[in-house]
Amino acid sequence: MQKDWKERLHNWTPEPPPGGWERLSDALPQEQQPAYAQKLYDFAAPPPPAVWDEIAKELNGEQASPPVIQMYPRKRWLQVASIAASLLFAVYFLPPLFRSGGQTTAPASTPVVQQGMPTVNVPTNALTVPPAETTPIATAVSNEQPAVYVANVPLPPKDNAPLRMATTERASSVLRSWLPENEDVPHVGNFIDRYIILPVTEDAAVRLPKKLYAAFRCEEQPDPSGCWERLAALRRQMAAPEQLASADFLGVMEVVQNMGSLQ
Amino acid sequence: MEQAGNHFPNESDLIDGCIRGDRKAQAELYQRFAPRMFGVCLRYAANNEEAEDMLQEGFLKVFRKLDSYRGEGSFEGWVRRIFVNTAIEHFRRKTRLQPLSGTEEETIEGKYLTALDHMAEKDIVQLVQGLPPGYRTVFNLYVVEGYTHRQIAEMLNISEGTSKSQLSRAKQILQELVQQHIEKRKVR
Repeated sequence: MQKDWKERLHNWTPEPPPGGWERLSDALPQEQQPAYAQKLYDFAAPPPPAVWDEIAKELNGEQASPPVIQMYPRKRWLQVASIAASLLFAVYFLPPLFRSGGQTTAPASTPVVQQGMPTVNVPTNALTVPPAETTPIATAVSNEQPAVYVANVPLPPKDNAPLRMATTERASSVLRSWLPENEDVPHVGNFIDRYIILPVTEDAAVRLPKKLYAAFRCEEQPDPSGCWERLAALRRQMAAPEQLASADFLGVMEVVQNMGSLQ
Repeated sequence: MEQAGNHFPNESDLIDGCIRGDRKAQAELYQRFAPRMFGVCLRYAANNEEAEDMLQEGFLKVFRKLDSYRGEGSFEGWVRRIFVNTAIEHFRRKTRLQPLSGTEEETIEGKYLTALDHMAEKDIVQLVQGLPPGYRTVFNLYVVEGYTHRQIAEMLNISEGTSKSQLSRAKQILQELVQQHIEKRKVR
């Protein structure tokens, strides 16, 4: 019961006397905000549409596509100069890159491991040879001995015997020069049936396509010295930077034909 | 501008959408508050271009700081404070207030200043824009936003006396501008 009247008193909301606010506001002139201040506070104006576009652009931020950069200069002479510079760059700088990419420098004492073959340690002074398109399994060059080229190209049966005879001795001598004195020279004849070994009289190997090999079986030719010279000339031509780009079979054929001595 | 419909009738949904980076929510929030906030910017700016800059800067701040709104007080009040602060930053970048000697705050509105009550908002804003930046800022903060001189002094990093003298001078200039305005209209 007591709670009831307390609650009713608490919630009682009688109407204020009429004109109450006017009398109060007259009594508080200093604290009343001027009408223009309220007007200014509520003042609203439609913003220009471009503002939202700018805001949206800013909000896109990281997602916005990067600015388009003009790839080609507008001026004609600049275009020509750019092309010329590109060509010059290609002519002068790209061939050495190809050369360095195409040649492999054998590290000191590189083991030459063949499938089912004895391991041969190549001496530190072994130098570079162009990569064989027939995937050579071992290539090494001696500064003192004729170079040896080993490729995984099986010999044609009809050429087997004379070639083996021509190359085995030389290959054996080269291997002997590489190996320490206390090590046995592997029997070259064991793998000559499976691999071509081509000795060259210069201090670098020459990589020959299989089809050209027969033309350079110098031991079998009536004038072996001329054959070695042609091989040496071929090696020099193939080592020239301008020939590196065409070091495939057709390229080598072209080199050989240009020499004019292959018959 | 992309048309933002009334996709977010609930203000908290609208705010959440903006925090998530929902472009529709952001556009709707902009549409809801841009006219009033542009009004705020126009009062503090010297011209429309500056007001547009303030509006853009202010909304970017609103969108970036939305996650710090804790729901205390009205959202519009929070947005307005950001815009007033943006206007103050603009003012700070441009001007440094100096105390004026020999002037004290006048508490009684002058004859011409009361004439503002009968003018259109747009005209009043135009006259306010004619005030020098310092006077305009103090005038807006004190008369329109309702900050005290102590608060204004803290906001603008000036003394209370400087705030008072700036307001007094602002009112004097505004009276002169109102007088000129009225006389121009009489001539027409």
